[in-house]
Amino acid sequence: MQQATGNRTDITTLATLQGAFHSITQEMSDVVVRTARTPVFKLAKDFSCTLCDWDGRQVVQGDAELPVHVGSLPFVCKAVMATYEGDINPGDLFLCNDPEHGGIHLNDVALLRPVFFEDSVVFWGAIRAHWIDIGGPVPVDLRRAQSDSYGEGLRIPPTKITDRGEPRAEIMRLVFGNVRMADQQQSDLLAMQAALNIADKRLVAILEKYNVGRTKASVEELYKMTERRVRKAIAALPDGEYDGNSWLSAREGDEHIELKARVTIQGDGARIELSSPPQLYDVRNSPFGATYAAVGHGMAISLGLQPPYNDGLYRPLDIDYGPLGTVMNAQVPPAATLGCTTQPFCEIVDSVRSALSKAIPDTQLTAGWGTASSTVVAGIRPGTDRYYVHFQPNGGSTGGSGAAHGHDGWGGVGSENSGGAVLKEPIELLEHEMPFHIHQLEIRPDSGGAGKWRGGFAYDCEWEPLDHAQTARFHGTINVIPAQSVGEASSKLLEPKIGARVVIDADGTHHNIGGNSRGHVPRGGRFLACPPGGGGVGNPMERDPCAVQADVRNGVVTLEGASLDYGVAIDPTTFEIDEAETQKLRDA
Amino acid sequence: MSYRLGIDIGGTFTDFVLLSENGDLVVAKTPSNPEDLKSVILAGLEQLAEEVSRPVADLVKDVDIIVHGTTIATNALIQGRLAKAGMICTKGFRDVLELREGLKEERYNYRVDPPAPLVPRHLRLAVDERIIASGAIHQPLDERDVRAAAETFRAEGVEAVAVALLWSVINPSHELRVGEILREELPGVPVFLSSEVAPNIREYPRFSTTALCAALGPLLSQYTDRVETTLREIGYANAVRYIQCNGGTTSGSLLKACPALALDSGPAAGPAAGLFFGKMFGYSDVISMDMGGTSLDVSLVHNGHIETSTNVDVHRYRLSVPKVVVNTLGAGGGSIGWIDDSGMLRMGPRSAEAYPGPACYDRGGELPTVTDANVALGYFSADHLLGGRMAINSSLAHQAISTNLAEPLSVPEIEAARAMYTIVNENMANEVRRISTERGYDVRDFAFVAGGGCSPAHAVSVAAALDVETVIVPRAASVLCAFGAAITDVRHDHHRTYMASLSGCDLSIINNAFEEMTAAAAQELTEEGFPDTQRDLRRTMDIRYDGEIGELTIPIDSGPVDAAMLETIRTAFDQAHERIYTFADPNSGCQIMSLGLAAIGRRTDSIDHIQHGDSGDQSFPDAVMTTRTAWFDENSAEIPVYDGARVKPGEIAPGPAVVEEATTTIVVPPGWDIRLDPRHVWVITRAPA
Repeated sequence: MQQATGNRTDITTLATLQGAFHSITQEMSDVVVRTARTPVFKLAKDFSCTLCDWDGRQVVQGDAELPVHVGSLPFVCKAVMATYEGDINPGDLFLCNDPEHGGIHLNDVALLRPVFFEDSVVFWGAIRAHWIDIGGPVPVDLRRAQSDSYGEGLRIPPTKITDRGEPRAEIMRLVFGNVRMADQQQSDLLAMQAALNIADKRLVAILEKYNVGRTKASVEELYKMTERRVRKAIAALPDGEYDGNSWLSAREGDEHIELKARVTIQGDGARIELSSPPQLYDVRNSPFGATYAAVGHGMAISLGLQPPYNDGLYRPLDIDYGPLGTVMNAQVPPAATLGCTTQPFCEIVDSVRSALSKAIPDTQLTAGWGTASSTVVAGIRPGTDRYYVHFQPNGGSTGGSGAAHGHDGWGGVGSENSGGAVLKEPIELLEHEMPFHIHQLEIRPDSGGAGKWRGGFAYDCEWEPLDHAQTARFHGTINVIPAQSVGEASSKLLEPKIGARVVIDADGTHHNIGGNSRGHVPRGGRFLACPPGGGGVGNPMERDPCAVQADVRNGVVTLEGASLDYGVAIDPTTFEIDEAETQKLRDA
Repeated sequence: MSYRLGIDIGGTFTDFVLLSENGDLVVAKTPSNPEDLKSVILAGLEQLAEEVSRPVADLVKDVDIIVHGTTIATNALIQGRLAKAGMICTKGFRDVLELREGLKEERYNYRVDPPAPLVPRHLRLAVDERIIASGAIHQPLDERDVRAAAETFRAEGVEAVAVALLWSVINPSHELRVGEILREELPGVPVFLSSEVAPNIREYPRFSTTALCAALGPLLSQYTDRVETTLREIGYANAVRYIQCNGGTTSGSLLKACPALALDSGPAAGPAAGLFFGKMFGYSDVISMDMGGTSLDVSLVHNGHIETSTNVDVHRYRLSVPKVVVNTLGAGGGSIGWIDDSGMLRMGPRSAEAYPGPACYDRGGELPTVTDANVALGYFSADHLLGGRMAINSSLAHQAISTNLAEPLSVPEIEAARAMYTIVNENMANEVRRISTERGYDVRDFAFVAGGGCSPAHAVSVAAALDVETVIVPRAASVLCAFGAAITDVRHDHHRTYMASLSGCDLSIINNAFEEMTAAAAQELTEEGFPDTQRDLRRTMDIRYDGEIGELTIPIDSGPVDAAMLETIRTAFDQAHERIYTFADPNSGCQIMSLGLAAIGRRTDSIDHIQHGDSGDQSFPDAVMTTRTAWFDENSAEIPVYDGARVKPGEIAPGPAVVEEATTTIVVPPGWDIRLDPRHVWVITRAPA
């Protein structure tokens, strides 16, 4: 193999390295999906892989990865480098989930491995994955009861768990002595390591081919190329201050919480000033790492920027998180942050989107997604003394995506924090492994936000724990405010667009336990999770009546929805459009 | 003299390969015309008949078997020309098909729509019934719901029905009963049961496969009828077989029973051809690269076995039956070079297609393509392609590269052309890595077989980048898949879902299942006329560590499965896991997920070589047509251009050089040697140091 010489880059090397970095993260992800053991890893793909450089900067944000996971990983990488300065060696592995060091919520545990070449660290392989349990008082991981970070479970600052290839047994004992289902989770750790093995192998091959000097020069140039692209998109917007906001749903008895974003466009740079109330005495606080990722995501989407993303994406952004100790700049400890990957992540994206919607052309508009935090089903397996915990990201069933100008939203793809990366587990595999039945997983009619382009539909999911000697518990937060619609879009038929959590007793009685709540499903009872639909874009009265007709025929918009939300009258038996009545409704 | 005939109908051309029992090979190529199948087939046969100097009517009588690969199913899917299909679903689960497990392929692209569901929601009708994981009936089937659904389907004019019920893989009784009722209520409407067409656990892939069957069924059924009628009219009376997505052939009637198998028919024959040519040189590990005008298909054969996988997407629709692993990349001769909004040079996936084609074709195309780069670098002639049959204008290639790439990037034109060539090769190398390295194979053990008109210009450079030692370019390179069709084996796949821990499984269930599958396979192969000596029964188990999502398909030996064999299987699984995923976990429990049996009827026993037209009689120096200035890396050199047709078998020449053949151009970089094997195959190997 020919080895390149010199420190200069060229167009061929840049394109080749960009392609290689991308395919490495893809390969890392593939191996984890196939080898992890807990459903949240393997079925739901609640993990992300990335590569960082010699300074801990992000080399590639793979387009299959979860924005909330990867956007904040460089902080962790930098924290590991600072903590272990002078003591980083080939074959080391570092674990970290601490929000104070770029962590997000404690269950999202990052594992990093330095990639050595010619005796120095040139790259880092990094993976962050949702551990099914991270300790704490109850065997589930969305515990509204927890009001500070100490109660959330095991906090792991940057910690070397493998030293020059030798696992540090005492650390492993400490970690796995403090989490439930340690066997499964230790197997999951093997899957995480496998991903980093691949990163190491592939990156070393690249360095052998291009040498360190040229590789570093190329990586720097790749950052600049992305930065130039972002600056160009910002420069295309009129200078000015744009204010936006979004609402974090209230818990029972509380007020909704407003999150504000002011985006100041000046030339080819943007300043984003966030302001939010003092941090909450519950889990819905965002540490700076998660907020950073949310702002980056909101900007990229509103600016219409496609991947590849890397360190350059964030360079033109000057982010003011607001005072330490507020919801969007939580101080950990003591703040609890369990909700942050969904709430307020999605709301922070929405507040940035809302501000930028005033600056960008209509054709770039996108709407908010139906946001729902995770649902966790836990209990004791009948006839055993073993816990089971089943974690369902994004509400346990799947909400709808927001519409975009020219495109209806997607149904059932979850919340925006994952962007359609988190998959729904096959029902047959779930029922094979778990002591519950699923009774339905279907589109909820009228759940998509009204708009010229309709929001995506939500899918309702209903479980029944089987013959449980103990009851199962359900936790979760859910957005009870309809997803953010933009560009004159608004819905009149609101109730179906909002999520709900319903406990159904054995006698069939329904209890809507509301948002941000916990339910207790008795033996013989069921639980119904209803996430919200996505927001719409544009005036729904301008929606093509034929599109409304098709939705009605397919049973995803009701006759009432057609009339109220879209001003379209449809014959209930023939599904023909009543032109005259439609005209009347739309003129009204 | 008896023959076998391979016909591969592609989007642009239809390829014909006529292979005699002695290995004499004749090829033909005609433009495709889906409207007039008969004249296309006749035109091809006439070309072949002329080559062998016999009348068509006479020739077809000596053909024993015609094997046909077709893009009809794939094209229908891409273009949405699908039957109006209905679906019967378990109550509560009518949206499984539309949810697609919640997948949105491109996270950050908010301006892309999901694929249209194969069955619209108003034709996905729920029936009250429920079977649970154990196979027990939790809720009996309400037959009134089925009859009401049939009524709706009749009123709507539904042309085919998919029956997709939960857990039918464990207990198919409800699906069977629904099928009976539908056939009674809707005579003449084909009904596909998920437990029959794709008996694999995981509802979405199974339902999707069943829906594909219903959506493609009527079209495919008409098509196979039309093919067979046409061939009868021409005077052909023997067997007609079709290439399936598993790489083997099957009969029209079995294809009608599972029309989804017709997806990727055509490209699926590539690996069989690759293996055939690899074996000539002692390689049973082969990577086939078939690069045409718009795309590259890469497939892999390991240890003489064609790689298949399940639960993959075909044009965004999930398929759960075994399918040859063919990775497709938007890299062909017509792939366009462009600069993205960050200033990065990119190649493809957009293509200039056959029309207007590359800039140098002088048909109005102004964008620089891979072919234009090959012209600019001196690999292709400045004034013709296809051995002189097609004139080109090289100044248009230079101009397109200069204007669109070199000037905006502020680099010399030749550097832009080199970058185009290298980037395409890197993209190809990444695709080869995906199919080999990422699946745990050492790519250096493999030989490349380069097919399609465009790969021979790139394959050796890709081989160099991956440390591959041997590149094989058959003279029949441009009709590789038709050749594959002519020589490939019959293959029928059988599956049983059986989930149990490997250590605690019930051997009698396993052995019974294998016996049943073996009996069914034996009957099929008997019907197709394969004696015992030409049968291969490959048994497999899909296994995973407790709790893993991905199972690995582990081949198992013949004979009764007993405790000792389970131990062997366990070891093989641990080794495969380590090879593919970098680690094994011998302390973990293992779970069997399903049992498989691939029944192969071998056709290729008698042919191990081919004779393809006349060979030249000149040494390489005598066969020089001209010399050209060509660029390799940062240097240019005056290199010889050989006329492939004039070269004498056994001759060898060093690179850098170019060999022009009637349908392709082979680029031999410095450090590589090319020789013509007497069996009409070019072999390019690394020059001895």
